Amino acid sequence: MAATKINLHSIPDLKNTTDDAIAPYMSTLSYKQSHHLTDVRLALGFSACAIAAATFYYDFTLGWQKTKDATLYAVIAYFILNTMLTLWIWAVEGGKVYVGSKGGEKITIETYSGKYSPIYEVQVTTNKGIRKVKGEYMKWFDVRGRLVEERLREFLEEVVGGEKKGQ
Amino acid sequence: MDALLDQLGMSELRRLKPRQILGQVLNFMLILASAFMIWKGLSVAADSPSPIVVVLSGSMEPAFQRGDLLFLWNRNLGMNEIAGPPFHENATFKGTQVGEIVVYNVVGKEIPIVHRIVRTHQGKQTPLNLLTKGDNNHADDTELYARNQFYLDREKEVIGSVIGYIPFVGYVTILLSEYPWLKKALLGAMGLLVILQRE
Repeated sequence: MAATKINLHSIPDLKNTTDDAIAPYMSTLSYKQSHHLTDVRLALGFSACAIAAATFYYDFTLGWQKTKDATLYAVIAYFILNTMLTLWIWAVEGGKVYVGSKGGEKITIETYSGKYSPIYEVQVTTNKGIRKVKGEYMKWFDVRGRLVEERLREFLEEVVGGEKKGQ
Repeated sequence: MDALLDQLGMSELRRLKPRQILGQVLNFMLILASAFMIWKGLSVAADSPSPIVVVLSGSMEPAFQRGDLLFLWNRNLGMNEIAGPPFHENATFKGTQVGEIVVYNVVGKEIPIVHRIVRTHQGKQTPLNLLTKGDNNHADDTELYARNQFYLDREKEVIGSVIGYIPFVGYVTILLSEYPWLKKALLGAMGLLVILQRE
């Protein structure tokens, strides 16, 4: 993990690399990750692709005249699925990078970064409520663009276990 | 292997987990699928197997040049109410008429031909037959039709009437079909970009 160098001037690179490090960290805290959001997205997307592929296949083998009625329904179904997928990504998934649980406690971690801002904004939703934490990428990336895991872990401890510290 | 990926600038791929790889593949497939389904949507709307065509020859100059992009409409069959779609006097697209430019595929030949209608036969009660000619050609198209056939069947052979065009933009597809390696290079580059980019 630490071997990968990223471009320090690219906010998406910084955010993606940090996001990807959250799940391994949570598993060390024995949280169990739920892939429900991703799975629904993949299912919606690949169903839409399957419709397009079938349309392509039947159009290719049978020709336009025989398939044009079915094509109308396929086009409608495809764009309905595509709209659902877009809504799912925008409204349901949003910035959620981790959903998991430990015991009965559910935890959802959402992250945001402004387009040109080096600030990592984290929102943690648990059974106890919502909490927001901000961190700077420079605190857990070294000058060469490598993720320093210990530093990130310190930040994530603050993110996940913040209440305990605060009490 | 790792060194190779690094050299190709694809070290990003190594970090991805199965679901993330599937997600990236999906992004790429959705682009292809959406392009195809938008095309099919246009097809359904225009009722034509190929609602957009590119002019390949200079036979319609000066109206159309090689590389012009044409938009077709195929719901103006000009037939009676029993055999075809209803034909209204104040419809935007009336039945096919002399002077219109149509695109047709002669049975057995795959290249679409864009020519103007110079004469119509029958129609209303029976299938409409057309005689076409390229503006820039000396003779009409009877030579181009199937053997012993002196007309086009509007419904069976014509894929649509031209209702709009954009000059020159279709030239890309002429280039792509004349230099096939361009097509592969373009598709490959596009695929790589989509898989590697995460935004």
